[in-house]
Order: sequence, then C-alpha cells, then structure tokens
Amino acid sequence: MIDKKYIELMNRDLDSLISSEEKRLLQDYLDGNWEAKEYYDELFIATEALKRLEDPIPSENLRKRIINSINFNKYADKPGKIRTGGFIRSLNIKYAFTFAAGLLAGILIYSLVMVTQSKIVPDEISGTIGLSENFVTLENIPLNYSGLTGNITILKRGNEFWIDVNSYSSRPVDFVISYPDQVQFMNLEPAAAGSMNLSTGKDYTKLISSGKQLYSIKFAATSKVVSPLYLKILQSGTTVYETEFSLNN
Amino acid sequence: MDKDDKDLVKESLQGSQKSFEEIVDRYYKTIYRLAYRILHDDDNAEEITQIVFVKAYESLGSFNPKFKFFSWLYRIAVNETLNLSKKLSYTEKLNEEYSSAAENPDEIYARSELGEKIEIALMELDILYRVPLVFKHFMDYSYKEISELLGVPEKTIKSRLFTGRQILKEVLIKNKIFQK
Repeated sequence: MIDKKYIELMNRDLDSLISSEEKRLLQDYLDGNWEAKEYYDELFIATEALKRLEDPIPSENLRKRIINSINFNKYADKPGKIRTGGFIRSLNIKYAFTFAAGLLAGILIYSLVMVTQSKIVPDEISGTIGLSENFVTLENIPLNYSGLTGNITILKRGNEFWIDVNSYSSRPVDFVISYPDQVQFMNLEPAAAGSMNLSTGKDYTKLISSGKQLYSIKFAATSKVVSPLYLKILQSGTTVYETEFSLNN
Repeated sequence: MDKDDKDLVKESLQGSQKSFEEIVDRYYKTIYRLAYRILHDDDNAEEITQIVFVKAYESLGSFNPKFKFFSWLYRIAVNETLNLSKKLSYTEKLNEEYSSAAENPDEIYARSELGEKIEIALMELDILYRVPLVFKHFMDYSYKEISELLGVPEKTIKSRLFTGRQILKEVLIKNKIFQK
C-alpha cells in the first residue's frame, strides 16, 4: 500500500519540484516501504525513457513548403493602390466568356459548313506536310477530393511545358508549383485567369482560385537537364495532393 | 542582435515576407517536433507544421503582443494537432495497431529500436495524458504554462501528468521494455 501523499511527492521529485526537506521525507519513506520503492523506481525509469528519445528531424524541404503555402500578399497591399471593384471584374469576366463562347460557336459553325461543302481531290494536292514538335504528356492527375474535382495535365514540348488545370472547387484552392533555378515562369493563360490570385517568386508560382477553373501555366526550362519540380494542391491550408515530377523524359 | 518575435510580427503585418520567414525559421522545427511527439507520424507532423504557419500568418493581426508569441503559436499547433488526431481517430487506429502487436510482442519489438519502442509506448497513452507529458518532458513547460496553454486548471494538469506517467510505466512493463 502506497500513501497518496508520497505518490504526489514522487511525481514532483521527477519534475524536480521538490524541496530538500520533502526529498529527505520521501527517501525515508522509500527506505521503509519496498513496494513504494519499486513503484518509484519504475516511474523513474519511465520518465528517463522519455529522455532517451532523439529529436525527430523534419524533411529538408519542409521550410520551403511552409513558405510556398503562405499567401504573402495578405499584408503586402500598398496603400493608395487602386483596386478594381469585384463587380467590374465580374462584368469583365462575363463579357470575356460571352465573347469567347460566341467566337467558338462561330468557328464551329463555319468549320462544319466548310467541311460539308469542301471536297478533297487527291490529284490536286501536292507538297509536304510539316509536323511541329509534339506535346508529350508528362503527368495526368485526376482530382477527386471533397469539394475539388477535375484534372491537371502536365505537358512538355521542347524546352517549354504547361500545367493545364481544369477543375472545380467549392472552396479556395492553392496550386503551388516549386521549381529549380533552371525553370522560369512564363505566363498564365487565359487572361481571365488574372482574376485568380497569382503570385510568383524566384522558385515558385502560386495560384489561389475557386469555382470553375480552366487555365494553363506556362514555364520554360533553361537547361536540358532539370531538377525535379514539385506540385502541391492545398484546400483551406490542408494539402490534398502533392507530387514531384521531372521534365527529363 | 536577433530581433524580438514581436518586432518580426509587426514587420510581417507591414508586409515584410522576410520577417515572417524568420519566424518560420525560428519555430518550424519545434512545431514539427511537438506535432510528431503527439502524433508519431512524419507526414502528419509536417502537415500540421505547415498548417500552423499558414494559420498563424492569416490571423497574425489577432495576436496580442501582451502575450508571448511562441505560446500563441504553440496554442495553434496544439489545437491543430488535436483536431487532426480526432479526425483520424488516431487513438483508435493505434489501439488496433497495438492489439496486433500484443499478439506477438517479442517479434514486433525485436525489430524496432529502443527509441521506437518508447515512442510506441507513448502513443498508447490517451491524448489527454500524452499532451501534458509532451509539454513537460520535451518542451520543458511548467505545470502553470501547460495549464495556460491548454486552458485547463493547473491541478488537472498535475493529475494528468501523474496518471500519464503511471500508464506509461505500465505500458513499458507490459511491452517488456523494462522488466518488473
């Protein structure tokens, strides 16, 4: 039987919170009670065992991942900067989409008319057909997460490559692409994609978007051999997908 | 001379990315270790570390400079870790893992190093006891500091620490990490 008062003293001793007087009292008690002594020794070993544990070490790119996942634009707004109102912006987008849809429909109708009316006579064809360098699909990533669906395709042609995003998300999604020195961000297409929050650094490009998204991010490699790139998708700060990919196929 | 955390926070709020990066440099390894000790999982610990800094940055304006910055940061870390732990039903999963280990403990534990065995034993503790133990033994927090951090009376923290230690001792014996 161990007195509760001494169990508390033992614990406080293990936490180095005991006075010399209490320490002496505890020692006397342990000397006269083998059960308490055994209990104390076990507690001591259990506490010491925790000290044996080595500090876990995070992966080397954790710092970079943390920095890339933060939207540093939040406090970086310059005072006096004229902001385009959300209403005007949404109007522009609506007009852009209406115009694009009309244009596409026109092209489609024109193509159908031309195809049905034209007749190819092989005898009248001469010359050569030149093929430009083909696109190579490096990755095709289906997105099927809670509140985020669609797919991402990574394509390469020569020293240029594209990350095509076709997605729908109910909540804001961060697309973060980290890359080595041998890669440069070129541009984002289409222009309407500018309504998304785009930020680029020396070694990363980040887009924050929500709703229906259809855009392409273009990069160029300045070297034949390029270190791996890193794509990460976050939803409300939580990573839903991450992958490393290489351009050296 | 190193800048004070509060100065770095102030500069971050004025738009200095460099200042917040310095905050990240100061604390990301500690936050990672804390999350790892509670969750015992590399990926989740890294995930938590990332979320903590994103959330800290997003709510930097709500930080009250009257308090210590790292305590504020640790509180976010603890909340996020506990949320994830609940979400993953971590305890349940580990209990399952342990029941399989209990079928053949000699074989399981022969494969792992002592440190790993102790970590596994620590994970058998309910999170209620594990968190105060982690703060006491790995972060060197006082009863009062743990109590403030977790928003639980000091007396309760003390009791959880004692009970946690008692359970840990029993688990170590049960898992034959040390003999009775």
